[in-house]
Amino acid sequence: MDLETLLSYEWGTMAPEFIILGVATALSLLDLFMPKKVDRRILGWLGFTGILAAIVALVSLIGHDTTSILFDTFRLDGFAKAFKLILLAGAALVLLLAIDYEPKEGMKEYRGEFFYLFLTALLGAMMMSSSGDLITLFIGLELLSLSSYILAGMRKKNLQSNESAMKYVINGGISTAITLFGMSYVYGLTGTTNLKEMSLILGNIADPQHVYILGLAFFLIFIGLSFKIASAPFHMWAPDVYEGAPTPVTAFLSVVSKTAGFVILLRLLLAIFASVPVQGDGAEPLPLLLRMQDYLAFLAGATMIIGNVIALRQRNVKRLFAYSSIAHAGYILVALTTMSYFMFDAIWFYLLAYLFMNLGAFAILQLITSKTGSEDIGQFAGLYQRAPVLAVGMGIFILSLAGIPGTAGFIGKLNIFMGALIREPAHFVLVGIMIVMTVVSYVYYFGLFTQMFFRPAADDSKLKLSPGITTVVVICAAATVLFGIMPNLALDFFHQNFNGFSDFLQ
Amino acid sequence: MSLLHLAIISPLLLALLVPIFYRYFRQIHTGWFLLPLPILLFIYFLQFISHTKNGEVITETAPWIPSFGVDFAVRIDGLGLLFALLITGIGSLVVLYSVYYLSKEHEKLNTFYIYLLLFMTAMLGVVLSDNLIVLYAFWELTSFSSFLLIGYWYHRERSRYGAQKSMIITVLGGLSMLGGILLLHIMTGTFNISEIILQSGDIVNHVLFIPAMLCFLLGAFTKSAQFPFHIWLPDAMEAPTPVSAYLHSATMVKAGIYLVARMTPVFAHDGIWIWLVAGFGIVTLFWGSFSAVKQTDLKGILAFSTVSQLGMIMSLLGIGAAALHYPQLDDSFYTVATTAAVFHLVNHATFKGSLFMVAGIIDHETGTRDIRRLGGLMNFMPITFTLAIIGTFSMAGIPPFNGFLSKEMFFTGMVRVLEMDIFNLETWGFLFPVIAWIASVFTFIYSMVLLFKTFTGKHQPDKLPKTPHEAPIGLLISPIILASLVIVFGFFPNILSHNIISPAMESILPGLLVEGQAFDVHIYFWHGFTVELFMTIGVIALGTLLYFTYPKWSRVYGIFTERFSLNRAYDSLIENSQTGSYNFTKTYMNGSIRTYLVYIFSFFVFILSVSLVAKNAFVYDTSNVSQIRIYEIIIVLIMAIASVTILFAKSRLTAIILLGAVGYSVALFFVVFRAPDLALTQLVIETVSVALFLLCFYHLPKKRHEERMSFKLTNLLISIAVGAVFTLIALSAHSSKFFEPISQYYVENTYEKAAGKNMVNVILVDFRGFDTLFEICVLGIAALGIYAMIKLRMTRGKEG
Repeated sequence: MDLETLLSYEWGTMAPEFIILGVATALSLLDLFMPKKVDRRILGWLGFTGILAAIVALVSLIGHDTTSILFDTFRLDGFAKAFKLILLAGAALVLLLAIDYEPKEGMKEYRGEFFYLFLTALLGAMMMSSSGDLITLFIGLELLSLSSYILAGMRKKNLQSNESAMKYVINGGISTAITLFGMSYVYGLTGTTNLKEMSLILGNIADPQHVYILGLAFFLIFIGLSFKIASAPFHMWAPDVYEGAPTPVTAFLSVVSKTAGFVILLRLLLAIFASVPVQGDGAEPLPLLLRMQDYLAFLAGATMIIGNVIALRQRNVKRLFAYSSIAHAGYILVALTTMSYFMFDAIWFYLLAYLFMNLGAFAILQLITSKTGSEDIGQFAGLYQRAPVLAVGMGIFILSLAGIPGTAGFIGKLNIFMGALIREPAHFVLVGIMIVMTVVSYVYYFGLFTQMFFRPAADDSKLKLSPGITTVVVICAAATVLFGIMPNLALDFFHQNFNGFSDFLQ
Repeated sequence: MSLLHLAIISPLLLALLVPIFYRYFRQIHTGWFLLPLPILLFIYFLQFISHTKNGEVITETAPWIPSFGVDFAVRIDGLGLLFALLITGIGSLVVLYSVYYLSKEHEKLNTFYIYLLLFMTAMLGVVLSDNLIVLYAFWELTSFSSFLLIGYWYHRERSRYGAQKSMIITVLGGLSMLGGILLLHIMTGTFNISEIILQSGDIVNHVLFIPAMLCFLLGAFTKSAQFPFHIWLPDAMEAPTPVSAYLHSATMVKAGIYLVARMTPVFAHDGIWIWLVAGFGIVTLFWGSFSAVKQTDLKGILAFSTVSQLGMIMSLLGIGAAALHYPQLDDSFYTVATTAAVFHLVNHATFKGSLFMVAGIIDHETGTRDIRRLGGLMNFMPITFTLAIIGTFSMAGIPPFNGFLSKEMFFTGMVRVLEMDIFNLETWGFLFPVIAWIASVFTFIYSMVLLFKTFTGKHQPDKLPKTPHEAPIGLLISPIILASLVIVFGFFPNILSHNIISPAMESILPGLLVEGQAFDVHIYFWHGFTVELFMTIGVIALGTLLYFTYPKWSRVYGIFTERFSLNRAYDSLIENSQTGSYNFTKTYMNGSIRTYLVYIFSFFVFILSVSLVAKNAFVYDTSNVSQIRIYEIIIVLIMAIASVTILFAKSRLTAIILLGAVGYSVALFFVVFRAPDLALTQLVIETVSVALFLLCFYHLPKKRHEERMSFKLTNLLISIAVGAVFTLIALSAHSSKFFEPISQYYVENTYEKAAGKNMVNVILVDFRGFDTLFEICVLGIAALGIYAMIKLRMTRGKEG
């Protein structure tokens, strides 16, 4: 590759990534050369500004045509843009939480690392959503994972944090190995790592034997990636890691990292397995992906049941949210399973809603737990008496997570229901499980609610609000209600700018 | 956004101002600021009567989520208007009552009124929206505000219990209704109720028709406390009395009735609907009135009485729907049941509302609601006593009150079931009048218990926490208004018949009318000596007898022990799910990564082997396989022996060395297959890893020798299974080749293009030169890092 071709690429399409990369590098250098006494929080604000700049760059690219550079390894299509928006917004909010994070034992010398590791993880996630090649996809995944491993163990003096990082690394390593193994099969079958070429080659595959091997590869890849979205069977790490990791990291894992997991899942499954024709009983060959629906449905159902049922007895709020996040992954998997016409809308909107409601909840959780260091559900008792505004905010997030009408969470669930029922044949069992599990989830969500509103407070001291957390809570609550009452704002934006991802594989 | 929309959300908007009223006007009871709104709304809705009377339907639409076909469409017809008037009318009286009931010094009035206004908006939304999704949203909001209001006195354990119970049960029904809504959407392609009704004829034979109907009915039955979902209502009585009067008697629990009435044009074409609605209704009617007799708490009696009356209205709606199947008959023959349902709906709101308020007054003035401690209050509270007489007599169906009229019509409707000959009603239809009559006897008994146990008999001042005296006039205004309505509707029922009842029936049974026609409803006191009259006389006679002999037959209630009660079932369900979840968590999520891996790998092996077998994916192709010689067999044996011995190794050192042996044997394999470079690499890697292992293990704590590794069968099975499955997959993969192997390319080009004779060298430094370069870079960076760490440690050691 000579210089001329190198320069001929439209590097502007990568502007958001370059900004994040630049800021992350600058922060690490600044951290190195800044005097020890200077408060590292300034780095957090710099990082936040960087993310905002990246959002601006991304928004200015929204009208941009679908382009791909570097031999189709980096694509800027509707899919990439839509999900990058969620990733960036999530990361920006998480960074605000991180700036205000103050564990009991302090984190003076690591605070700088804290910020730029978030940025590198974000960069990995963004690369994933834009990549059109297995190699870049995998590198993005690993960049995200490795940064997350370190982030989870950021409280070096805290035993739980260490345990959490350890478990995360081991589980992550195994899942990565499985994913790679699956990817290698696909590569073996097609001889290319480029997703577009793969889909072309696989479109003409005829030998049933190859299809079986592809089926195996599908399972390997899916099982491996289920680690990232914390769904069955790779969900076990989530509660332990969520509990031990610093709260902003937990928020990051449950929102940004999960979104990235769905991004890579969608990219891979749709690019590779949706194009494999399988001769079925009927006359029309069906894509392999549709043939796999039953298995996906099983996994989605299992995920919803496990997440919700175990959450019933949790006293630790962070673990509770871990199980709740597993359950939510299950709901999104329902949308993926049904593969309806609305699949992209449903997943995108759900992730958007989930971003706001979950991050908002984590912001309040961080505020409350950091004060006492205890994460028991009892800490929420009497929150309404201590800080009515916070309690109402948390109330909104919980209602939204539970899917009560008037909140974004409800619209998200409704989207998924509609998608699942509109298909022929409709997925009644799956919808039934989802409805019953939603009722089960009410038990623990409203348990938390009861704590906040109906229990006397253990101590009456006022909670001190910091600017970062206040901003996050306000933004999240406003967005949750806004998208709940006027979901069209988001849905229209989605339809107008991303064309329903029609450019997904072009 | 029209004025109508604004009317619906106006309580919510007012709720935003409540904290201001509460904070800055502490001297004035917050309720006074709210009172004008429901009154204004009541007047606003009253003026629609002139429209609905003529069969006009007013609709307004505001776009909401057009992409789903969801609009905030509101519609005022007879049925919606009836409910809107109930909500705002009773709402005004309840707010007024609450001003005197809740002390402004001791209660958190701001939260109370915010919840109450939230409920008002929600309830108006339920009955006025024409879009099912909007209806559902408001529906859940009513459950939610009810949850908050029941838990208003949150310091009481029973309040919290009741709040959660009502929430779980009603929301379960709500979600089921959502399922029904979506099914209807699949069938009709719209969420708009009016449009769905237009298509109702086409969907009857759809396969989803019955499931959708069942989903809707579950929603309606849970909300309207029908047997066996009624168990939440008695526990909801922990709410402050104004709330019980408003939500749990007059309005919210009637949302289920509303839903059934609203969906009758859609679903009633099927006989199952008639059987289910009427059947559940009549069973609820009986069970509610039967259970009410044994209650000792005034509000408990009223709660079960509400359950039973809701069942009565429900059964009437079911029977009335049968009229759709007899279009040829005179229009009032079967529709009389529907008339009775609508009429009783209004009557129930009036007499039950006043009775709840009376119960609240007694609680307020004496400090207890237990009828075993009350008695002889008529001398102390004459006005309250009068109100109670009016309320209970109306409830018992004694003339001249409105309850008598609707009870007579109820009997008429039930007796006419005997003449139906559809859906097996000719066989089992006789049960309806029989059960209805028995239930009415019990209704009579508990009404009398309520009245006489409280107001007559011996006064027991020592058992009362407070000295009883008449309530302040403020508390009495609302029940007086309601009691007057009981009398007015009793003497002049035709005020309602054309203005309210007939338009409401038109919405329930639109199919029976020709354009421009209206139901001709006339309600009379005197029908002559009909069956109904004798039934009433029988009720009063037997009821009086049973009332006086109650101690003799009260043992009947002993048959239904607590053990098998529905409440017990609910409690144990909740408890078991909690303990079940706990046990599940303890074994499944025990925090040990080894257990997790067991689960992950077993799942993994399971799904892969299942798909291998199910898809018949295993292939084995020997064409590429070379001869197996004695060398290979020996090496494999060595490897196997070494691997197995590792398991039994006593010390770590032995284990590491054995592991090394496996690795070196692999290297030998490469030698045998004439790949010296690979063998060399393998040897180096093996040596390094053994060395690293040894280094690490040096720092580990000593292994205690007595600690023997226990034999774990599951682990053995899983490891063998993982190995086997992967071997099979690898064999299949090896046996299916799709492309020419890339090695041929190197064979051909190594010499020509790179002018090298050692192929491996050429690949490393030429074909994949960049890879090698970057690998070296990575290694270099890692080495630098390690160097830095060692150096850091050494300097720190010096400092330390």
